[in-house]
Amino acid sequence: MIPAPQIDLAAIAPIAAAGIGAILVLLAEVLLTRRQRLLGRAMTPSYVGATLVLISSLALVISAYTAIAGFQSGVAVGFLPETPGVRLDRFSAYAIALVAVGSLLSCWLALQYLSEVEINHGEFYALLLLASSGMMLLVSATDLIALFLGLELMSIPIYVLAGFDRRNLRSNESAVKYFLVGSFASALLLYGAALVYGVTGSLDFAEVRAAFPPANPLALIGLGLLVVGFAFKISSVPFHQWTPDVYEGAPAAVTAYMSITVKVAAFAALLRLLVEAFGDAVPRLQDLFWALAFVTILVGNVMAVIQDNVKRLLAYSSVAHAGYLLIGFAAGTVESVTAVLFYLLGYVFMNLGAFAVLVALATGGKDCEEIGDLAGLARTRPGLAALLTLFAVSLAGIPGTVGFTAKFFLFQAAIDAGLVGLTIVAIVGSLISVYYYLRLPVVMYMREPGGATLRASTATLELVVLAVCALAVVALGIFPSDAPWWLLDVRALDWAREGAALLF
Amino acid sequence: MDLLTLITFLPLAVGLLLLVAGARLPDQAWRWVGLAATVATFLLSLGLWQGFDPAQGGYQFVRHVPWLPAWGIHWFVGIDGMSLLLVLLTTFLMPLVLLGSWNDVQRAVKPFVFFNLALETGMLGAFVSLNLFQFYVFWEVMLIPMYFIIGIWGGPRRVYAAVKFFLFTMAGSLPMLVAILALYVVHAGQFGAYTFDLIAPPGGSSPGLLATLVPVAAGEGVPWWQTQPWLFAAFALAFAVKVPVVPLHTWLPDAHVEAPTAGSVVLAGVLLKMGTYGFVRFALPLFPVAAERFAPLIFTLAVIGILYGALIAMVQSDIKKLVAYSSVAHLGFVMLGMFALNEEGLQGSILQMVNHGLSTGALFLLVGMIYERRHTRLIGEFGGIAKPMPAFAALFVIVTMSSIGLPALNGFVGEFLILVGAFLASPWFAVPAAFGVVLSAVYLLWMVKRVFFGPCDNPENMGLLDLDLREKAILVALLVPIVWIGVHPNPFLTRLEASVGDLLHHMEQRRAVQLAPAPGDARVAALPLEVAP
Amino acid sequence: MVEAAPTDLLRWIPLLPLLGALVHGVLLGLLRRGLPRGLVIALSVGAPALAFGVTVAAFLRLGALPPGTVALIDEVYTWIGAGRLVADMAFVFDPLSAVMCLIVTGVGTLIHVYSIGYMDDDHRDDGGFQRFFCYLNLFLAAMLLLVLGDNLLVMFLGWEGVGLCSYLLIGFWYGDRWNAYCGLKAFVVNRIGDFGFLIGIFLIVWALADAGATLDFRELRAALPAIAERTVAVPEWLGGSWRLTTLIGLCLFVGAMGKSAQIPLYVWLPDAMAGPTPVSALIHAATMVTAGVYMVCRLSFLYAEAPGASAVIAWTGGLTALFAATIAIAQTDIKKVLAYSTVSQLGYMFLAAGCGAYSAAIFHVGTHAFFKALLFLGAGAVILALHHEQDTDKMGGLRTRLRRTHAVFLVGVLAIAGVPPLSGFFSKDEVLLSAWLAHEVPGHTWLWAIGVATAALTAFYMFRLHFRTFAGESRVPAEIEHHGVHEPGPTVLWPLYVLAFLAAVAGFLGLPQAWGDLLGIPESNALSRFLGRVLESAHHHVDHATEFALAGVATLAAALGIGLAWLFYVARPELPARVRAGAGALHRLIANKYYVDELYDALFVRPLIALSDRVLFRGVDAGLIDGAFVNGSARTVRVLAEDALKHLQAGLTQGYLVTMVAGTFLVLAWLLSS
Repeated sequence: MIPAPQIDLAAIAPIAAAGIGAILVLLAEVLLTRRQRLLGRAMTPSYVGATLVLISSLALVISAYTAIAGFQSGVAVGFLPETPGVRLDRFSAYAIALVAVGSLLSCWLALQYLSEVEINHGEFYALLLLASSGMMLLVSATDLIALFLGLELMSIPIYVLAGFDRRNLRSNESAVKYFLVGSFASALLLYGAALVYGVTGSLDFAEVRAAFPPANPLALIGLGLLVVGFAFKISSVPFHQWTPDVYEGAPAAVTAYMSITVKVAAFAALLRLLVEAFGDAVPRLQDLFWALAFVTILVGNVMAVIQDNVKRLLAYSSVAHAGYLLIGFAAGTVESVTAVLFYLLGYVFMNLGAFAVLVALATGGKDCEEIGDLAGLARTRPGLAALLTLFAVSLAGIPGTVGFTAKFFLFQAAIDAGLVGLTIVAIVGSLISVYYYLRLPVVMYMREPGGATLRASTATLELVVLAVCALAVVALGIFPSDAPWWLLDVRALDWAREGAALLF
Repeated sequence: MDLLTLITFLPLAVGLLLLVAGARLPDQAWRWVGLAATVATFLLSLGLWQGFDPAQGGYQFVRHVPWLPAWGIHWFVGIDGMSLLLVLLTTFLMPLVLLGSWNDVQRAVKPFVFFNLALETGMLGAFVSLNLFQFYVFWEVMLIPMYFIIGIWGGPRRVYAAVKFFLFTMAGSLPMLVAILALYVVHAGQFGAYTFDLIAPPGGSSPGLLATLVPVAAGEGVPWWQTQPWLFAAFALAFAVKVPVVPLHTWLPDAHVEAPTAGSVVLAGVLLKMGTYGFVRFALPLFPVAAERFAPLIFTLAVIGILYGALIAMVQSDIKKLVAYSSVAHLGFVMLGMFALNEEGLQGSILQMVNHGLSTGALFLLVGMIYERRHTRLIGEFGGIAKPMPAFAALFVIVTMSSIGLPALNGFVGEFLILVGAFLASPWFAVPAAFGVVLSAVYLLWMVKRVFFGPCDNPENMGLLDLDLREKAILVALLVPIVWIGVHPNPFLTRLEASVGDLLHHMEQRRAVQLAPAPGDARVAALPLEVAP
Repeated sequence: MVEAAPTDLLRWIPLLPLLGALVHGVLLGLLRRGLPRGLVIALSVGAPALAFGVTVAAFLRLGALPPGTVALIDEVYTWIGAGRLVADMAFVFDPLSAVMCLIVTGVGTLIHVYSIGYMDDDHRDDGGFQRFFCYLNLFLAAMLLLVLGDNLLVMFLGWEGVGLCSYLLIGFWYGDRWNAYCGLKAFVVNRIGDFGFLIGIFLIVWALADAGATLDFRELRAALPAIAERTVAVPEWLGGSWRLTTLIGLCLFVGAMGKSAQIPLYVWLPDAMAGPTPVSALIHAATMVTAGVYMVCRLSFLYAEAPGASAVIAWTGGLTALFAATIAIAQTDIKKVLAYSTVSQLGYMFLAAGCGAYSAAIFHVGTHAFFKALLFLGAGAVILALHHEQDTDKMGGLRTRLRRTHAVFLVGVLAIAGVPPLSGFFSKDEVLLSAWLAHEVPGHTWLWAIGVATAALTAFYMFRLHFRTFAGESRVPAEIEHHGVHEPGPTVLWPLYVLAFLAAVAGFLGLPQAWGDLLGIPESNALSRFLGRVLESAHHHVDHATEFALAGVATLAAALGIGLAWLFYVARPELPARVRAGAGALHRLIANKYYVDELYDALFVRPLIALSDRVLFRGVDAGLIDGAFVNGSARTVRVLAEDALKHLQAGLTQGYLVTMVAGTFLVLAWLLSS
C-alpha cells in the first residue's frame, strides 16, 4: 500500500497561499455581486475591486512572508520526502519573494486601471494570483514534472489575461498569438523533458545530473528542447517575436505584470534547471548562451530604435534586457548568477515603474501607448514625467539607479569570467538603448503638449506603486547592498549571492 | 562630515531641499537660494585653498568611508594640486553661471536651478574621487543635468545637440567601464584583493589600483584585454571625447551653439576639463608605458586640433560657434602640454585648463549678453557696436586678449609653459603648435573687428544698451583671476609643482619596475602618489 | 657675468604710466566717468614726466656706480617658475636700457604734451580724449617693460604689450572700417613675427635645458659659450648644418622683422598711419618700431657668436632701406612718405647691427627718434592746420603761412637727409662706415653702396616732400581755405622746438673720433664709449682719411638728392609729369608699393580662408566626420532595423512558428555538433 505522504506545508505555503487566494477572490466576487442583487444596495464596482485587491494582497503578502521566512531559516524543505519535487530553499525563496512583490504591486496597479479601461472584472485578480502561484511552483520545482506544471499554471492564466480586454481586437489577437506560440513552446519543452527522462530514467534534477550522458544525442536534444522552451518564455532571440505583439496588445496593467514576473520566474527556473540538472555536464552549453545573448542584445536594442509605440518599445527593451541577463548564463559562475538574481530584482522595479506610469495615464477605455501621447508631459504632469524619466534612465543603465548597479555587477562577473567580447557587445547594445530610452524625456520635456487625452489624476495605490518603484530604483542604485539603517539595512546583493550560492 | 564631502554635496542637497520644500516658492526665491548655495560652496572651497599645503605632495583632505566594501567600493575623496585648482574653478564659475542666466532663463526656472546644482555636485564629485567606481558614477551622472539644460533651455536644434552630446559621451565612457572592470580584475589577480581605490586608503595596507603592474603586452596567461595599450585606449577614448580631441569633437559645436549661456559656460568651463583631468589623474599614472607609447599619436592629434580648430573658427559666421571651435584649439594646447610628459608641459597644461575655463567661460557669458539684447549671434548682424556699448566692447577685448594669450593675462602663462614643455619633448610638434598662437589672434580679432568696429550702421544696433551692474559685476569677477594668473601665476604653479612632480616620478618608477622585471615586493614599493602624511 | 647693483627704483619707471592707464581704464571702461580735461592732462602727462624724472635719477645712480658695476637690477618677484624654467619680473638699467629709457620717456613726454593740443579737437566719440591718453600711457608702460626687462620673457611681455597698444591706437578712430582693418593687420603681422621670437626663446630653453635653462640676459651671456659651438642639422639646400646660435639669432630676428617692419613683414607700418599723428610719431617712428633693433643689440653677445644671422640681418636691413626709400619717392600722402622713410631708416639700423656696429645702431635709433618724431609732429601740425588733410597735392606754399612749423620741419628734413653737422649726418655715417668695414659680412661693400644710394634717395624724397608741402604755389582747396589755415597752438609747437634742437645737436653725443681729433676733442664718441660697457663691438681700425672720404661720398649723395628734388619741384615743376609720362609702368609699380599687399592677399589670405571654409569646415568637419561617421552610424542602425530585421517581424503567427522551428534546429545543431 502506498504510505500517506508527509507533506511539509512550509515548502508549499507560498504557492498555496497564492492559489487559495485566487479561489477566495473568485468566491468573494460572486458573493459581493450576488449580495448586491439580494439587498439591492448600490455596491460600487470600485468597492468590489478594493475588496478583491485586499484579498489578493493578503494572499500575496502571505506567500512573500512565508518565502522570506523560508529564506531566513535557510533549511531547504521539500514537498515529498522521497522525491522532493518542490523545494523551498534560499534560491526559490528569493525568486518567490520577487514574484510575490511584483504581483502585489501589479494588482495594486490594476485597481484603478481596470475601471479606467472599463474591463473591471474580478476574475482579473484570480487569474493573476493563479499565474503567480504557477510561477512560484515553477521556481521551486526540483523535478521536471513540477517544472512543467508550474510553467503551464503560469502560462495559461496569462494567455487569458493578455486577451482580457475583450472588446479590443488587438488584445484578443495578442492572446491568441501568445497562446498558439506558447503552447508550441510548451510542447517542445514537454518533449524535451520526456527525452531527458527517457535517457536518464529520472525526473529529479539531481538524479538527472548524476545520470546525464553528455555524449548521448537524444539527451542533448532533450536538453536543447528544454532550453528552447524557456528561451521562448524569457523571449530570447529568435524565440522573441511574440513579445512585441503581446506586450502591445495586452492591457497595460497585464503587460506590466507579465513583463516582470514571467521574466523572474522563467529565468530563475532556467537557472536552477541548468545548474542542478545539467551543471557542467555539457561543455558547449555556455557557448550556446553566449550566442543567444549576442543576438538577443543586438536584435532587441536595434529593433527598439524604430518603435513609436511605448509598449512595443518596452517590449523590445525587455528582449534586450533578457539578452544582458543571458550573459550571466554564458559566464556560469556564482558571481554571474548572483548578478542575474540582482538584475532581476532591479528589473522588477524599473520596468514595473515604467509601465506604472503608462497605466497611471490610461483613461477613457484606452491605453496611453503612442510615444506622441507623452508629448509635453513635463508640462501637464511633471511628477509622472520625472518618474518615467527616472525609470527610463535606470533602464538605460545610468549610474545612480539600479539599472547601473545591476549592469555593473553583471559585466564585472562577465569580465571576471573572461567574457570581454560579450561585454563589449552588451555595451554597444546599451549605447543604442540610451538613444531610444532618451526619446521618452525628449518628448516629455522638449516638446509641446499634444492633443492626447490623458488621465488628470493618479490613484493613491498607483502613487504607492510608483513611489515604491522609484525609491527602490534609487536606493538599490546607490546601495545595492550594505544600505544604511534609514534604508532598513537592505542587503539585496548579499541575498542574491546567498540564493545563488545555494545552487553551486 | 569632512570638508570635501560637504563641498561636493552641498549644492545637490540644497537642490533636493528645494524640490521637496520649495514647490510653492516663487521662481525668484529659487534663483536666490541657488545662488546662495553656489556662493557658499565657493566660500567653503576657499577653505581648501587655505588649508592646502603646497609643500607636500600626495593627496590632502582625504576621506575614506566604506560603501560597498565587499566589492572594494568606497567613498574615497582627496585632492592634490591639480584637483584643487579644478575644484576651485568649478565652485568659482557656478555662481557666475547662475547670475549670468538671471534674465536669460525665464521659462521653467525651478528645474533650471535644480539641474545646475545637481550638475555642480556631479562635477565636484568627479574631481575629488579617488575611487574609480565613484568617479565613474559622478562622471556619468553629470551628463543628465547637462542633457536637460541643453535640451530644455537650448536653441532651435537643442534636441539633436543634447542627444548627440549624451550619446558621444556614453560611447566614450562605456568602453572605459569595461576597462575599469578589467583593471579591477588584473589588480585582484596581482594582490588577491578587489578594490576600486586608486591609492592605498589612509592606514590601509592594501595597495590601490595605481600599484597594479598592468601587463605591457599580451602573452601566456595574459589576454589582450588585460594589457596597457587596450586599457589605455579605452580610458583615452572616454576622455578624448570629452576634451574633445579631433576628430571626436563634432558634438561640441552643436552642444555649444544650442546650449543656453549657462550650459555653454559650464560645458566649456568645466565639463571639457573632465576629459583632460581624466587623462592626468587616471590614464597617465595607471598605464605609464602605454601613455608614453601613445604620446606621439596624441601629440599629432593635439597639433591637428590646434590648427584645425583655429582655421575652422576663422570662417564661422556665428560668434558662439567661433568660440566653440576656439575651444577645440585651446584644448589641443592642453593635450599637447600634458603629453609632453615633463614638468613645464604638465604644469602649463593644468594651468591652461583653468585659464580656458575662465577665458572661454567669460567669452560665452559675453556672447550671451549680446544675444539677450539682439537675439542673434551672427557676426554679419553686428558692426561698430563699440559705439553704443563701450564697456561691453572694452571687456570683450580684454577677455579676447586673454584668450589670444597676451602676456600679463592668464592665457599666456599656460600656453607658454605648454609650448616650452612640448618643445623640450619634441620641437617638430611644438613649432606648428606655436603657429596656432598666430591663428588665434587672426580669428578672434577678426571677429572683434567685424562686431565692434567700423560704422554702427545697422539700425538694430544703434539703440543697444550697455552692460548693467549685474553683468559688469560678473565680468569683473572673472577678470580678477584672469589678470592675477597672468601677472603672478606662481601661487598656482607652486600648488601644482609637487603633484606634477609626483605624477612624473610615479610614471617613471612604474615604467622602471615594469620594463626591468623586479621581485614581487617591488610592486608594492612605496609609491609617490599616496595620501599626504 | 657683468656686475649689477640692486635697487627698487626701476619698477617705478613702468609702473607710473601703468597707473595712469589703469586709472583712466577703470574710470572709462567700467564707470563710464570721464575726468575733467585738466585732470586727464595732469594725470596722463604727469605719469611719463615722472617716469622721465625717475629715469634721470636712475641714470645719475648709474653714473655713480663703482667701476666694474655697470647695471642696476630690480628684481620684483618670480613671475613664472615651472620645472627647469624660471623667469623673474626683474628690470635691468645698464647703459643700453638707460639710453633707450631716456629716449622713450623723454620723447614720450614731449609727445604727450603735443597730443594735448593735437587731440584737442577730437570730438569723434565721447571720452575719446581720455581714452587716447589711457592707451598712450599704457603704451609707455609696455615700452618701458620691453626696454627694462632683465630677461627675454619680460622683454616679450613688453614686446606684446606695445603691439597691443599699437593695435588699439591705430584703430583709435574705430568708427572707420579702414582704421580697424589697419589695426588688425598690424597685430596679426606682428604676431607672425612673435611666432619666430617665441621659437627663438624655446630654442634657448631647449639648448640650455640640461645646463639649467635661463632667459636672464646676464646669465645667458655667461652660459652662451657652453652652446656656442653646438650645431643643428638643417636641409641640405640650406647647407646641412648651422650653428645653434645662428638658428636662435634668426628666429629672434623674425620677431624683429615684425616689430621693426623689415622685409617681408614691413607691410603693416605704412597702414599704421591710420592712427592719430602723435601715435605715428611716438610708436611708429621713435620708439616701438626700434624695439627690434634694441633686441638685437641687447643680445649682441649672441649675435656676435652668430655670423650667419648677423649677415642676414645686415642684408635684410640694407635691402629694406633701399626698397622702402624707392617707394617713398612716389607717395603723395605726407604721412605715407614719412612711414616709408621710417621703414628705410630702420633698415639702416639693422644694417649697422648686422655689421656688428651695435652702438652705431643705437646711435641712429636715438637721432632717428628725434628727427623722425620731429618730422611726424611737424606733419601733424600741418595736417592740423589743414583740418586733417594729408595729401601733399592739396598743400604747397605753406612756407609763408606756417612759418614756425616750416622752420622746424626743415631742421628735421636736413637732419634726416644727412646734412652736416646735424644729427642724422653723424649717425648715418657711422652706419655706412660699419658696412664698409664689416669684412665678415659677405658683400659688405655692396651693402655700403646700397646705403649710399639710399642716402641719396632719402635726401631726394624728403626734400620733395618739403618742397611740395611748403614751397611753390598753394594748392590748398577752397573748402579748407575758408575754415582758415593757422599755425597750431603752443602745446603743439613747443615740443617741436625741443625736438628740433635735439635733432640738430644730438649728433655730437656720438661724434666720431675722426671729427673729435679734427676739432680737438679727446674721447669724442661719448655714446659708444658709454654703450661699449655692455655692447659687443667689432673694433675695426680705419684711418681718418678713409673715414672722411666715405663721409664725403655720403654727403655728395645727399647733395645730389637735394639738388634733384630742387630741380624737380622748385626749379622746373613740369619735369615730374614728364618723367611720370616717360616711365609710366615703373611709376605705377612704385606708386602702388610694388603691389606687395595684393600679392600677400592672393598668396596667403584668400587661399587660407578658402581652405578653412570649403575644405576643412564644409568638407571634413560637416561632411566627413559628422556626416559620414557620426550620423552615418546612427543611420546604419536605423537601416538595419527598418530594412532587415523588421521584415522578420511580419506579425503573422505562422511566421513566428517558422522562425522558432528554425531557431530550435540551430540550437540542437549547436549542441549536437560538440
